[in-house]
Amino acid sequence: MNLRRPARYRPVRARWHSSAVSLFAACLFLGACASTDPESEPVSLIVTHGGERYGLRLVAAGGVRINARLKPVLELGDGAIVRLDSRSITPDSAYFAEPPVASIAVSGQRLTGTLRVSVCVENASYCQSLILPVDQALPRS
Amino acid sequence: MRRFLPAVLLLPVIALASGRSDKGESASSPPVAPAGRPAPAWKNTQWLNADAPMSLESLRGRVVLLNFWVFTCYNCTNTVPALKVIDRQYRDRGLTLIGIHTPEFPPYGGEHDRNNVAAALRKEGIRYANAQDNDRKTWDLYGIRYWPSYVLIDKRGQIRYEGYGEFHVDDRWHREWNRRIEVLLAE
Repeated sequence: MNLRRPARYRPVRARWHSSAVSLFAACLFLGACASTDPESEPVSLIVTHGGERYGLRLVAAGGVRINARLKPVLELGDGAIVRLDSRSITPDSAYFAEPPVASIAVSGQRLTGTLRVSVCVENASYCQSLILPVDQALPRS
Repeated sequence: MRRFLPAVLLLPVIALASGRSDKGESASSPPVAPAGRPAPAWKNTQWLNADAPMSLESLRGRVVLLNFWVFTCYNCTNTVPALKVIDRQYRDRGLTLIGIHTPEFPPYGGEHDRNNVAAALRKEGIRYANAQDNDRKTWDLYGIRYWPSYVLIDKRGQIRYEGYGEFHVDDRWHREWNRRIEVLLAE
């Protein structure tokens, strides 16, 4: 059992990082980045291997809150729906206070599907949906 | 050099975005109402708190405030009290407030269900008309990106103000929307 070897989610994340450097340079040049763009603050799906099942944990970047009224969903490639949840929510029951998790049994070597998550931007008071493709190798124990 | 090529390509986009000023949410809104553009006609067929589907054409001569929301959005329901005040304050003076209930998730999320929307309207005490935008056509038609969002349309069917984000009774943005509505009602 290996619960300490997370596999980072998002194939586009590396691309995002390299673009972010360029974007930051452009922002400095123009002075145009006064506020945080929620689209540049993605969530991360962390997959861990525990026995015969895999653990999923959805972590939001700083300044982003995950809507607990609309639980995040992973639509697997075979059509199955996996809801991520946590008992730890904010006092107003609006957001997750701890990353929502799920446990799934997956055959094969890759996790594929679509992640849907409703995120709200802290101090900006609005929400938006993220629809993110998932395609990553499953970690081995 | 190749490394900075994306930045060079992004410059015009960023310059354009910085000039948009957050769709009217800037604190430095002009004192004079901006020139509008035609509001697209929505074609929603499922309505609540309305005897029949409402059309933009039938509202010509009234100021229309569209509120794009969904009951699973905390920021949206937090704004409802201020919207109810706006409805009470301006309905008889010529404002029609319409909720455009737009789900975030596919139907398995429960947001498409008419009974769930009706229950949310009861819970929040919403009496103004609401359209179910389950196919998100009106959302897309208006280019909306965030929950909650607002579009203020003048008596001639022109979009004059847009914005998004939670606001509360008598806070700065509530007063600003009041001011905008007053401007359009006076025209």
